Amino acid sequence: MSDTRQQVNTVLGIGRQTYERSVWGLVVIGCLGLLAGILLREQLIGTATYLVTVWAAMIVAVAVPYVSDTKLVDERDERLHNRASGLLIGIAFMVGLGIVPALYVLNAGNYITISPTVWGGIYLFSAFGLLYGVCYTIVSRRS
Amino acid sequence: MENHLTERREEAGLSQGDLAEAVDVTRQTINAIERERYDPSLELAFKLAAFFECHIEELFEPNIDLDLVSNSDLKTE
Repeated sequence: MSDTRQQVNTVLGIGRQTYERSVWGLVVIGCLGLLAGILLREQLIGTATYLVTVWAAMIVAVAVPYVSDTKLVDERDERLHNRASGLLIGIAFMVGLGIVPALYVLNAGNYITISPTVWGGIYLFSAFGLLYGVCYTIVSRRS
Repeated sequence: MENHLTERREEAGLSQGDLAEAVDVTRQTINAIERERYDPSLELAFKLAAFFECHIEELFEPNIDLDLVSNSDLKTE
């Protein structure tokens, strides 16, 4: 065990539970800060709190597994993440492909009028699908 | 997948945490394997077999009919 790792573990006492609680705790604090900022009309402070804590959470989430001797993330976590992501993509595509083209055609035929908000959702969905395609291509070429 | 990990681990007098540390996974993963809720990767299965100094087949029992995937037909041709 390297001295640095020993030191980090000793100082922070990093365990899986501590790691997860730290990450999610920071995210919750950030969200509460943002909400408080909105309610108290202190949007700038709320946004700053949110950005600082959420970025801190992301840094902790990514960096700590590298410096901790305790295994914090392993193959099962990765598989669970992949399954959850796959499920999300599957649902999104089924719903999107089942609805969006129909809406588009009905709008073009003047049967319905798609509101700007729905158009925003359609563009977001399209961008999401495109991004997924790019990510899939990158991952498949690297494996 | 059925396995004999709990028996092997207890015979060796190890906790789930000890075994997890030895094969470099989390305690939750060992727990999930023992409860047959997670099938380990081939790499982890080999690590576990190496740790207990046995063959993978002695540790894990696949729930498949091995006769169906036998290549005996190919061998006879």
